[in-house]
Amino acid sequence: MRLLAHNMLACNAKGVVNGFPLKIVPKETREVEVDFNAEFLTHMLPKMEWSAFVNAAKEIGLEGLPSEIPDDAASDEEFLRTFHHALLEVHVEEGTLVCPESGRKFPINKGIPNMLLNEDEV
Amino acid sequence: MRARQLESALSANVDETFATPKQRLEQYPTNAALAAGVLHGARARGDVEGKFVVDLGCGTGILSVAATLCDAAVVVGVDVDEDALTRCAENLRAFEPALEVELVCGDVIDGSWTLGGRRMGRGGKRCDTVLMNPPFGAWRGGADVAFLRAAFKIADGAIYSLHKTSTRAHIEKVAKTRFHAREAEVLAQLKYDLPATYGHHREKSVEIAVDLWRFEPTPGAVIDDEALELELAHDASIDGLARDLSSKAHVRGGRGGGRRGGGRRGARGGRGK
Repeated sequence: MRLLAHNMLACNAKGVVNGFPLKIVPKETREVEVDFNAEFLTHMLPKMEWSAFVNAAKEIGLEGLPSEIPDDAASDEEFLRTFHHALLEVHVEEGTLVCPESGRKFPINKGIPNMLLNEDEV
Repeated sequence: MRARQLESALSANVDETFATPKQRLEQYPTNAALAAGVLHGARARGDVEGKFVVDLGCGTGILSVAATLCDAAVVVGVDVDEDALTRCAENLRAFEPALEVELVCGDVIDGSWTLGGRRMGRGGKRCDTVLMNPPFGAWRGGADVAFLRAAFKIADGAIYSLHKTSTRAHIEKVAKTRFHAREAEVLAQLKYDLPATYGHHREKSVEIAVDLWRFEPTPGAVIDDEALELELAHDASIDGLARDLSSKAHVRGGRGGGRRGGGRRGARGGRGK
């Protein structure tokens, strides 16, 4: 699970009003280099839940992301490279996602978060 | 990569069969020709290269693989079945270097995995393009429409989806009235060769006509979940009744019971559940 996917995930268990963002408790991460594509990154910025992304990055040990998207983000290569690395190059292989409201835990095994709910939670 | 190269790369490297196919999920392999056909349509319209693509109900991942080979910037595959995702991960690792596709185990039909899912009011628009070969709703009535809803909730560019040609008028109506599609167009009619997969399949394989649809969501359109839920529940109850009747026919030795693959199948249907 990369942070790009994490930014889409939420806990929608019965009774939960705001199950986003899920807290990441990483056990194992790995890095895989990805080609830098400034155009794609700029395109992705407005799609991001930014503060959730920045927090998630901190949870997996990545610092250096600003709390707000810079005004000149498209031309700020240093910023884009930091964004690129956090968004696309770091995989959480093993760990847990935790619902901020209910504490419901979702395991991440072999890089795949399991978001399935039990019947009594739907 | 040219269309024919794509097709041969897919058939050489991707095992699109399900190790333990589950009929309730309508798991049928998407063959390389069909996957290449979907990608051919999507790529020609600029909806793949450099895009954020989501494959809903990715199964063993052939559309995700195809999108990655066609230079999608990022691909996320979502499926409710852990066994299928295990096969999918094996397929990704069969490439050298291994293909990077994000996999998520989640229920596409109820949207419970995602921000912007059924119960969530906010956000949700994330990806550029959704590619999918959804269940046709033969087992669970309305599953096709529930998948479309999920697609309309997360795509802000385009949606490519396969539906039985026999449902064309229904799909168009649902896309326009329920999901407020700005465009709904059948790009091609393809042949879906469904190999016999389940115990009730009698023929070795059955070819059905499917439409490759391209939908364009209207920015800011809101889907009325409650109204849609009622419709889906209605579809599901009608279908449940039909299924009960057909399984009774089966017990009596009748030839009903054929779903999506058509016809019952005898001893050769070894992998059926």
